[in-house]
Amino acid sequence: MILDYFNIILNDLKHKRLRSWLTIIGIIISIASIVSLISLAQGFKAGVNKQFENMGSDKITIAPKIFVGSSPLTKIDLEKVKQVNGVKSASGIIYKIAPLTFSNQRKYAYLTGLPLDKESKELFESMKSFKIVEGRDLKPGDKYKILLGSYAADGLFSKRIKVGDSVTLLGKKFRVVGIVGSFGDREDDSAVYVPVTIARNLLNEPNAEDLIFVQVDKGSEPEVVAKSIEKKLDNLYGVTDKTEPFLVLTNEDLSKRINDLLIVVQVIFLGIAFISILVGGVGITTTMYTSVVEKTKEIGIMKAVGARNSDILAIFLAESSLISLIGGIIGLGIGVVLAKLVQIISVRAMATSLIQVYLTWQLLLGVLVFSLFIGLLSGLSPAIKASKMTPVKALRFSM
Amino acid sequence: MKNYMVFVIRRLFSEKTRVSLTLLGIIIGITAVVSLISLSLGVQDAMNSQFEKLGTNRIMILPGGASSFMQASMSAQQLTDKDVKALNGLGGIKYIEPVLSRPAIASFRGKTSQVFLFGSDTDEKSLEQLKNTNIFSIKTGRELKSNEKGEAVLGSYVASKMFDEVKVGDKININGKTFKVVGIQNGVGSQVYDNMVRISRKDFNNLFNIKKDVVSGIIVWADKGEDLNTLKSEIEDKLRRERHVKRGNEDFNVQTSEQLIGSFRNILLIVQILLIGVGSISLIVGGINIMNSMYTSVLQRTKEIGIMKAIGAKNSDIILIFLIEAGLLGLVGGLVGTFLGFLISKSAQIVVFKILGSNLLIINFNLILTISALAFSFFIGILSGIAPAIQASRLKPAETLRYE
Repeated sequence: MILDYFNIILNDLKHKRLRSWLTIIGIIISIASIVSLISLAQGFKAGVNKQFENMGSDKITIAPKIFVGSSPLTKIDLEKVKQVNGVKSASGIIYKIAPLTFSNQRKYAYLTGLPLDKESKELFESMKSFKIVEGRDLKPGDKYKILLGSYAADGLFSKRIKVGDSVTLLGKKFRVVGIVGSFGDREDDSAVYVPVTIARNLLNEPNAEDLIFVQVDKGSEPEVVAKSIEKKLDNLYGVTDKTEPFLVLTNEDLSKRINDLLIVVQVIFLGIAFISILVGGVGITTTMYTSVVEKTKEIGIMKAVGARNSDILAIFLAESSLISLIGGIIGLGIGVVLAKLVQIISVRAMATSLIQVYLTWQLLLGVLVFSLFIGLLSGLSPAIKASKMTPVKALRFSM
Repeated sequence: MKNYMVFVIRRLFSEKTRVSLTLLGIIIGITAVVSLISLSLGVQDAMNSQFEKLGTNRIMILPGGASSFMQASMSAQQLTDKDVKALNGLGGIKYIEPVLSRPAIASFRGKTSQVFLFGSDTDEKSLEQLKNTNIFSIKTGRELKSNEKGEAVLGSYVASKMFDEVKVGDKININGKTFKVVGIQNGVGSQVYDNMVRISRKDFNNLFNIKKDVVSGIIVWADKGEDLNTLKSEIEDKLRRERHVKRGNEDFNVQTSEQLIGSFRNILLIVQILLIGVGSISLIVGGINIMNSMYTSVLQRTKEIGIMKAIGAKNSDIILIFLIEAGLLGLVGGLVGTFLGFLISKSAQIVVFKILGSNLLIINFNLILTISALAFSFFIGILSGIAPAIQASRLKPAETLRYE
């Protein structure tokens, strides 16, 4: 029975090839744009989340409320944070934009002052994203030694910097001892790392802490520890939850903040992209109405030989959903190819690993179900019109 | 031609379902694109007027590596009062403003919000100069005084809209410290300057732990008619000598307001292209709908075409009739779509006004946009109609008359 329906429809599609295909192309374009937008957005989200995962969920970050570099935090705060229950260790870094000179070229890099005591080293090593790929890490006792981020070493200057080369930072010569593996985004990859004591001297910043990282004790809830740190600092500064000039964030908070922002962007773009599927659906409705008019006589004959209203309804609904489904399948393929192209181009142009195509079977299945649904919805009113025809009138009809 | 039009319109009315559905498609597409364009033009206008209100005759000097005053504190290099002094001798300058500015958290009676905190020199000469710029003029209360601590002057938006009405004499909390409001500035219509809280430089330095003579940046207000690019290179020369750096090795960054506006425009342009690009996809689909509808129209009129040809219609006549039909579909869709697009962006403006309480976003809905939207939709109609029209014109009279 169902097979019969399909034969009727497929024959139809073959006969009115042009019109069917134009309708299908409408759906293809819409579905392709939606698929590529969603897969890229999900890829971006997955990339961001992976970075947080690499940092470990047992870390807390304390940052100035508005942006890094305007830090009100000091060494005193760091000592207070270390006393909080549940804090295993805490370590602060200096983070500034500084001029870096190599082979007579001058560029700006993100200067990061890293503490080299044993506790701090353990803390930073447990953040899996920080990996030395060439040379060695900084070690206690190092003075004018520097680690370069992957882009700072290769890309920032016209010549590649190698381990053993010398660079000038803030007027002082530093020897490159190691290169840090890529984090996947240009800002982090443009960082250079020197011992924090040296950074403090050069910048004349004996007490400031731009960012404080906290390792939570095993068995302590990061959320709870973050709350107690916040309370301690609030008391220290005489401020309340609302007026405090700093943020105490667990990694979950951090990723939630970024995800919230991503959702807003995603909703705007997808919202606009969905308009096109609306237009595509209207196209299906138009085609189906025409199809009903053209088949008036056939419908009359079918009814005369005993087809029920529901049979007619089913045939037309099957036709519209098939049109939409074919569009969905092809659109899915084209959308994936399109997204891959965007990925390849953006990786070339921006050296970011954050723009990645991310396909889940939920997306694939969801798109197909969605296009089926659009087809059914757009076909509904023409199909009802067809099913309600009276055989006598339909047979008398001529175009 | 007129006869053709009447003919086409009469035909369109005879097929309400197909025609209205085709129109619906193009209407949705045009609505989306028109509202997106007028909104983004509105954003662009808002940005331009922000810059104009501040004057386009400004030159910004920032520490190396920083691209805005807010980033100045991230730079490892610093500008100081010495640099400000070095510029004093240059001609063509109306006012040199040492900028001490950072974002800060202000709270008043339980409400909290972000403000731009500025530090002002409070010696007599600086205060006199401050008066002469029309940006920092006082509406109620008084200017900051030297030797007074813990005083604040509020921007108009901070005083009237950000919290409940703040009056002279009230206490306001900034980054955890309490300040007494001594004056309220006139509104200048700028997001930065109306959202500012101004305190003495001493208090500012204490609050952020900044050394006495460091500034975030310097704004040079040029005299009217002064060539900014010449002045810019004079400033660069002066600062190179003052800071003992060679050309190409500058540890500071001089930008004219035009350059600054240019970089903002580029960012906005990318966003505009992305949004409108995604929006246009629906227009393409709408065009395909027209084409589809026209093919159907050709099919349904096979016999008619045959008769017309039989009584002497030329191929070009047939093409014209179908192009008029397609163009008309596009144009009518465009008319309705443009109108709906206007309604949507207008309501977005009203929503923004309700939320922000300021007239920042005024949608730009000009004649050019209207005409180009109509012309474009007409063009899409014609374009989608070409292939079906040609097909119609090539039909052979004998065959078409036989068509059932």
